[in-house]
Amino acid sequence: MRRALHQVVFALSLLVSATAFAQSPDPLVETLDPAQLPPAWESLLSGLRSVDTVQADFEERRFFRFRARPLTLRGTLRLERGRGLSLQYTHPETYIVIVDARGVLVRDEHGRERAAPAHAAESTAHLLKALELDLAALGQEFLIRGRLETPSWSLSLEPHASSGMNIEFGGTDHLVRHLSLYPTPGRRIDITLRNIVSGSTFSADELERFFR
Amino acid sequence: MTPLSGRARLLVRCILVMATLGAAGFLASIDFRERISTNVMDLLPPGERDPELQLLRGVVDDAQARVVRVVLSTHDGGAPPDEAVQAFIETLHSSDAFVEAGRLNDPAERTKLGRFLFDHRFEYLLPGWLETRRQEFAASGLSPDSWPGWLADTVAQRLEAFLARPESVSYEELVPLDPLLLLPDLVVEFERFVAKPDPAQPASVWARTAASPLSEAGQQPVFDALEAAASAAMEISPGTDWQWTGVHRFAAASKHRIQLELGWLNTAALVTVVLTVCLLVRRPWQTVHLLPIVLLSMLTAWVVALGWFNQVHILVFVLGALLCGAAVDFGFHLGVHAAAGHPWRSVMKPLLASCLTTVFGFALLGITDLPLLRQLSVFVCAGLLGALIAAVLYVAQRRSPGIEARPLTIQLPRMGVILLAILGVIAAAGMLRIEWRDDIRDLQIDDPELRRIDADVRAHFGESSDTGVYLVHARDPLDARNQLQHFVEWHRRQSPDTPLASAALLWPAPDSLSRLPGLLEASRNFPDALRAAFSERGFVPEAFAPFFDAWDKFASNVSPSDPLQLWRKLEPHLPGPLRDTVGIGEEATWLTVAALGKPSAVPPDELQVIPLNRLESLNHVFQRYRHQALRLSLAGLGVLGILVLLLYGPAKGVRVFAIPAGATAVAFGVLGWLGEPLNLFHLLGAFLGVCLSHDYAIFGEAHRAPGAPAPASVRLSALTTAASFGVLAFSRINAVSALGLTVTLIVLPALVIVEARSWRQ
Repeated sequence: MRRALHQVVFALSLLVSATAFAQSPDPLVETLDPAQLPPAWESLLSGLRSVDTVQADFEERRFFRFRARPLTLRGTLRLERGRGLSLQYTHPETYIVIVDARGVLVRDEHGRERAAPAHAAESTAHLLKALELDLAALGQEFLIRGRLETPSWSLSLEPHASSGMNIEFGGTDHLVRHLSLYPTPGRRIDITLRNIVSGSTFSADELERFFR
Repeated sequence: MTPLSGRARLLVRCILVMATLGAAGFLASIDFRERISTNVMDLLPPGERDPELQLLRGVVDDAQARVVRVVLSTHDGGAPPDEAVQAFIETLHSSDAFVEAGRLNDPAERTKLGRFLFDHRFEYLLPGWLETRRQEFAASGLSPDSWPGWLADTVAQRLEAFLARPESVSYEELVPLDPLLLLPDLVVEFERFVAKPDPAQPASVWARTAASPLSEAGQQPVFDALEAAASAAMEISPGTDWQWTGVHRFAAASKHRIQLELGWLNTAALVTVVLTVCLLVRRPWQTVHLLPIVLLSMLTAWVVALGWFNQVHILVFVLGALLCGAAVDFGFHLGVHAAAGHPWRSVMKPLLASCLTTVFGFALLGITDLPLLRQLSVFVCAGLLGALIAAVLYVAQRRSPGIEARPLTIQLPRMGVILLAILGVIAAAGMLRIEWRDDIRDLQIDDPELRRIDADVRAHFGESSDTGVYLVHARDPLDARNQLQHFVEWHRRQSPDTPLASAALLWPAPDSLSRLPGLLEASRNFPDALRAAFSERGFVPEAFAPFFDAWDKFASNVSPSDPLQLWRKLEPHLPGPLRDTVGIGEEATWLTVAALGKPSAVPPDELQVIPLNRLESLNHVFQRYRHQALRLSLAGLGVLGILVLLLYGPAKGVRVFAIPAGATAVAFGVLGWLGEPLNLFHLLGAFLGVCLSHDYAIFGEAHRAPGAPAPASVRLSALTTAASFGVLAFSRINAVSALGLTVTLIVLPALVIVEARSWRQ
């Protein structure tokens, strides 16, 4: 009886796989060469790059193999082109992660700073390149695929190296609205942005507190 | 003075020659390297009542002081090739001067320790973890029955909070095996002290020498081995720069500089004394006869001090150079009075009075148990008595022993004298501004360049000024570890955000170990409760199966562990610098713990924890000795005053006693106006200054004919003393400088007071 059940499950799984293979690929997904981007992408990316600053509330959902439901973190994201990315976590723990050209820094609620763990530093550095849409740099490490259905768009970065991390992000018009990171098999981090304000200027106090 | 007969003179000469040869022979047989110490710690009592000092001596003499820290870099501050660093380390390994060498934060060593601790996490980390939870549970006031459920909820809650923190990224693979976070908690705490190895940064190399840094074998051979290692690294990578620091370097530099100081101070003092003599004596060559007296005085002092003590500190000989001033005085008094044709009897009484009262004063100073004072006391007393005997014998055997002083007449109007008196009072008022500062580093010569290199190198090793180091000690290692645990708990309450690091914290406290079986027994239902708590908080309990299996296995076989056995198993896995935080000896055990940032309060005495800040931690001991020396000095002066009153009667006695007292008030007042913080050595200088000025007071007041000016010998003595001690005031050793300045500032006003009586007339 148990053996029969296994056979049924196996057959079902084969069927599911076969169905998946049988599906035709999404015609809107295309592989992008950063050196020769299609005009529609060129236009979208130049619009995205024209946004110098972004501030948004974010919700980060971390998926673990040993958790049935994701862990949810919330905070405020700040991005200033040329200065870097700042993730101000406010729930459930309070700390700030700063990603810039000098690396990744963690600043706790008392203002004490320390370098981020190596894994976190690597993944967040890729995130910065992605958010700044530095496709030339990203193209050296990732295979870039895009899906454009105006006004929605999405980009998927698949690392050339087997140890790298997959990144997906997308949005509408000239705003990034969601990101997904896949640091290791079975791990996923989804970030959704809300209340996005672009083009505003950060005060000197904000720059000092949230960047370096 | 009546000359001796021929036979008597011959006999005296024989005695002088025999004494000189005997003393020279004794000194020739001495191994000066063994008998003369340059270690500042030797200035502190070996049997000091204060246990912290004993302990610190142990620490300084022990492993920690043998550590050498080296930073290897490229010219532009980058990382040298690994091969060059390896060549450096291997050269040190092959040298007899070093017993151990390795790279700081060697990833292989970290992995070795991490692997060991992870494999034995229940043995080493669980006892302390459970103990902390037990205390938290006790503080919650819940009933004992709710312990397993409370513990499970706490674990699930802590795990959830940990996963929300950035550092959790590195441990996600470990979480199913260690949901109690035994290892991540430890690593996160320790990593705040130790920078992660960065391949772009200079390489930090740590090594331990075979010999003590304060011995000869711990200096030049160590320097040679380091040079050889640097050459080996440069052969592979010619652009390699290196910097190093260690007690060895400071000790060698200090010794070298003290030796240099000895040379130039003595030469400069001699030159100034000769010049002063040339100005004040009609036939200066007559004063050549003072040299044998000084020589015999110094020989006596050296012989007695080295015969009395097993080891004498070099600073005693530097400070002891002051004897020259006193020895010369005796020669002057005898010589000047002989030239004036005074009988022996008229000179001997004041000579004996001034010498014996000074000897008495210095002997009283020797009652203290501070080796520096005891050694100085013996040295000076022997030297003074030697000088007295030598002066009497030497002058007695000469046919014409006189020293003719140049006549000096100073005319000062009455207003001038009054003005001087007012100036003296104003100067003395500066005493109200006196501040005391006791710093043991005054005994050393500070070298800013070495200090800068030391700070640079230590910064590469992750050491900074905001890292507090605490010392816990006990005779029994288990007691010491339990005490450390009490300190950790106190510190956690005081400064919850300040992490502590020590190898001893990897070693479970014996009290925690003994409570472990009972706690595990009370936690029988913990695994089931944890599964339920995990489910409730969104975890998949099945994913933690490896942990539950390991827990069951450990809890079912737990038996009381031998704490010392646990330490012995751990010790070989510790990297050198971490191993140095624990010293388990047969006589005593000490454990050091580092805290990032200092706690808000000083640890209470019952914790028996000593905040360590290197030598500065001994400053309060010096303060205690200053108080002790002050009490002894005052007692000595009191007795001296009584003796003077008895010898010379109330009128003369008060006048004699008022001169050193007034001169000292002026000297301390001037120091107060100068804003110079005073220390033990100003006090010693004052004591000597009082003895010398007391000598001038006796000769200038008690033995002066009514209406006559003060004897020329007083002027000669005071000015030569001021000249030689004035030179000491320029020493770069603060202790010597303080002593020289104070003596000079006392002797000069004393001379002015003695002389001013004749200026009025």
